[in-house]
Amino acid sequence: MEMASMRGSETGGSALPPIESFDRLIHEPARLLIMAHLYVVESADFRFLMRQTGLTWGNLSSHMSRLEAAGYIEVEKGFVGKKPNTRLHLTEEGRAAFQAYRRSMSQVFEDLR
Amino acid sequence: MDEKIDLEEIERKVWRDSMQDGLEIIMIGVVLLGTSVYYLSSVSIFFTTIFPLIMALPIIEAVRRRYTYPRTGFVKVQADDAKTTAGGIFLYGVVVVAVIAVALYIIFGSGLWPPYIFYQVVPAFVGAMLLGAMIYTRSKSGDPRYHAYGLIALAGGIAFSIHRFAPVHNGITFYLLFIGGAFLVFGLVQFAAFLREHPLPVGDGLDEGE
Repeated sequence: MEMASMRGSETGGSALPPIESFDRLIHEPARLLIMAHLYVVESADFRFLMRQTGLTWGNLSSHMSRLEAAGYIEVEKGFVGKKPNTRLHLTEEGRAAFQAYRRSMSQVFEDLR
Repeated sequence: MDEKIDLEEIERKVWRDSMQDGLEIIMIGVVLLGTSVYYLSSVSIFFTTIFPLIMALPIIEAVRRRYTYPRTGFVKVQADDAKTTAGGIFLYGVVVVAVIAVALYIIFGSGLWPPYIFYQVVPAFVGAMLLGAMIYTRSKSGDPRYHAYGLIALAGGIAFSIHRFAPVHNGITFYLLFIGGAFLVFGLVQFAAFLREHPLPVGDGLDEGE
């Protein structure tokens, strides 16, 4: 970060994005993985996300709660036959937040070249 | 956690996993076989082809609820824009027809083509369209087996078009029997492998409530 700042001041070009622009909710590795998987689908249930991300049920549930509280995902509880089933999808806000996060990270790696 | 986050690879894996049960391939086989039954019998095309086509998605969904979702979970992939897809299929069809027309021109020249030739090229056309569908599926899923399915469909179509059947429309019937049966077998093998590789999970905490 320090080297990049020096580079920015030497060239007078773009500096790294300020640290507060990084969405720390998404930046956590498990939540980043969850958001990435939900970004490429319309919806998915708990079991599918567990298998894809490798997270345990408890871990996934915990991160889901935080993302839901932030309004990034919507959780729909229903039934498949007689068995309870929880399906999730990104909200518009969540999709926009993920896209903004991707832009921030792309900018970081672009400026670090 | 050290997985590399590659969105394109994640999307391909999601597509691959959502189709690994082979149910779409089974339904393609059923529709093609049903169409051959139409040519072989007096059964209405509504029952042999149209009804299976209409019921394909609901049947696949019902089977997935029973066998797939309890094993690997539910996912709904993002569908491509319908207009773009329809336009792509139409354009691909035009290209296939053009290629067939060029091939016929090379074989028969610019003179009058025999009238039976239009029946005779139907297997090649159907094979080429199936190849296109399999190429699309391969590009979405990254699974090379769909290329193999497509190449078998095309090779079979060309072979059945080259061979002179009497009457000529037998070529269409027998090709549909061949490729429909092949896709049905491919799909059933995929489904059996899926059931074997993904036994019903026990004790993951999801059946008691999520």
